[in-house]
Amino acid sequence: MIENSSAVCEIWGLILANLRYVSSSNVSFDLLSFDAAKLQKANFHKVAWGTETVKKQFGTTINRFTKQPQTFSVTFKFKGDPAKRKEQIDKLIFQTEKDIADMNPGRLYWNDQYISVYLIEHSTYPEDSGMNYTITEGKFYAPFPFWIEEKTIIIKPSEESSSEYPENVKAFPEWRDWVYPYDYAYPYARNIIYFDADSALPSDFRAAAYGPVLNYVNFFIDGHEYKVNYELRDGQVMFIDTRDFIPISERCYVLNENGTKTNVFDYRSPDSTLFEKIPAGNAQMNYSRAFRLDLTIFQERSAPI
Amino acid sequence: MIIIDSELHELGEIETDVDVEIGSADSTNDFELTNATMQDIHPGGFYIPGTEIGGLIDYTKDRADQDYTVLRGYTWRGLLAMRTLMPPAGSNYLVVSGDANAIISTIIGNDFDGIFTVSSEVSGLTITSYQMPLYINMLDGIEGMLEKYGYRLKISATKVESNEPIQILIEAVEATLIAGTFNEDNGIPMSFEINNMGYNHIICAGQGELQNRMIRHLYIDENGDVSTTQYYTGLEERQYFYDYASAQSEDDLIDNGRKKLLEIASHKTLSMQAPKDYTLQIGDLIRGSFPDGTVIVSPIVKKIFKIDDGIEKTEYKIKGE
Repeated sequence: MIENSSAVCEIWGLILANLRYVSSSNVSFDLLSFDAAKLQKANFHKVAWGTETVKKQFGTTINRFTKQPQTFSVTFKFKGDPAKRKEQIDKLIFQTEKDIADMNPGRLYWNDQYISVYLIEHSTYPEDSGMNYTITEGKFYAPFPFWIEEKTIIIKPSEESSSEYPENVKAFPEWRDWVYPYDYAYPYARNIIYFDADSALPSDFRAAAYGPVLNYVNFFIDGHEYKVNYELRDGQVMFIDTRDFIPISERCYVLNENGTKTNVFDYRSPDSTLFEKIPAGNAQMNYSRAFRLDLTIFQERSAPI
Repeated sequence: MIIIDSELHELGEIETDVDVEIGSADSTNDFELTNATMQDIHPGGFYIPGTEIGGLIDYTKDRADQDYTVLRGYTWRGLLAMRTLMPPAGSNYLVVSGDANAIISTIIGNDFDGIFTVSSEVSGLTITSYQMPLYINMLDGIEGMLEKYGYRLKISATKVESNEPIQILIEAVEATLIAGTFNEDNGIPMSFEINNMGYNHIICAGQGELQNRMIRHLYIDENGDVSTTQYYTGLEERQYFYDYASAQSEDDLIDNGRKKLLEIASHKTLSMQAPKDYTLQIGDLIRGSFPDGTVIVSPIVKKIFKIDDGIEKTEYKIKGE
């Protein structure tokens, strides 16, 4: 656990981290600015794994590791004339309570990594040393105790991409040992795409396949086939989302041209399990490139970097 | 675990707690699952592909102060247990003959709106003139018939075609004899019970009044065989009076008297906890050796499957346990 002093937090802000809170209504608060909601103290690097064990004569055997929802204690410091402070505090409290009312969490961002949170406790009082500052102490509650960094790879159909390269792809020439990083642009029309799931844990992902797609949508990640026998018209997009907190009807669905959604899980190929996570580390995707495919990988970490 | 609608089409996949009991008709053959993320669909049932774990939802409970729903229902096997086998019109008994799968297909017919598919393959078991006990439920009737010949009822649900209902396949397969595996030497917890407090002589009373009442005597010997020859006498004899005035015939009286005697007789029972990586099926036979050298071979009659906080756990119950 790292307990940040105000100074350290500022140093992180200047050098290492861009900290902000974004409510579920998409209202953003710069946590390093006195013009928003300046964070004086926080412990975002608090990590606690749990264990499930079987007692033995000597010690235990670990069945598995677990992780409970995480709570982060935070202290905000507001300064300026009282009216400004009041307005800033009101805005922060309103947005965090709206998250709760809507049961839709806000996000704490540490650079590009985020964790979904609710501000479940807060207490506001004037600072002892004078009347120029107001302190708000609070606790953020993270139901899913991992920081996520999204990595999106956009792969266009091969006929459209002869002069383009997928974004964010660390690719390697086929004839090289591909674990050796080589800054090489992705060759057009190749059907194997290499990427890195930068996490020690298997990563969830969301795939978006853009119509038109004839007969079925399928792709392979590290040899695992994801296949849905559903044909897409031009303008339709099929989403496959492995995250288990997503509503069931929206884990494999088609977004139609008119904005309606159709659950197409029943169209999965009988041999295909759709919600298999991406293994940690280097991975490869293989597909026909007959249609555009966006792959967003949710890389998980216990603490932000 | 996959959620299905009432037409057996897949709706989606979830991870949730579930408690399922499957087995012979004296098992509850039901399930309960709790989930907080199914508000957006109308679940009709669930299944775990390739297994018997699954069933249809008949009970829903929501509470305003809790953010989850409790869903209950009967397993596939439980649905079979809620049908009674009736003798055909003009017959006293239902008597079946032929390949076991063909018999099961005839018995089930289209009784469940076609949700069950009975294998069209030849099972390898040909049965000749098997008489079903009167008014027995479909599950016990089929299981009893197969058990007699060393077979078991296999049920498995799978997805066969996209955008089609899942297939719940029923078939007769040979029971696996799991012998020499389950013993203390292999670190599998077992317990042995020797109960000599039972009866060994049953007096079966059928139709009739006073001295005209039909009375038949049945005895059990040290090997568990039931006959009309007395084995235990004197101090060792234990009598039980079995009042079965509604017996339809002498055969019916003796059949049911025999079953009753086996239930109440002295017995040795074997119980065990299967290791986590061992999957056993209802009807598989367990062979265990008692410390006194007695060997018991008994089928698995109950399986309790649970997922609790993401951890799977299976308990088995052996017949007579």
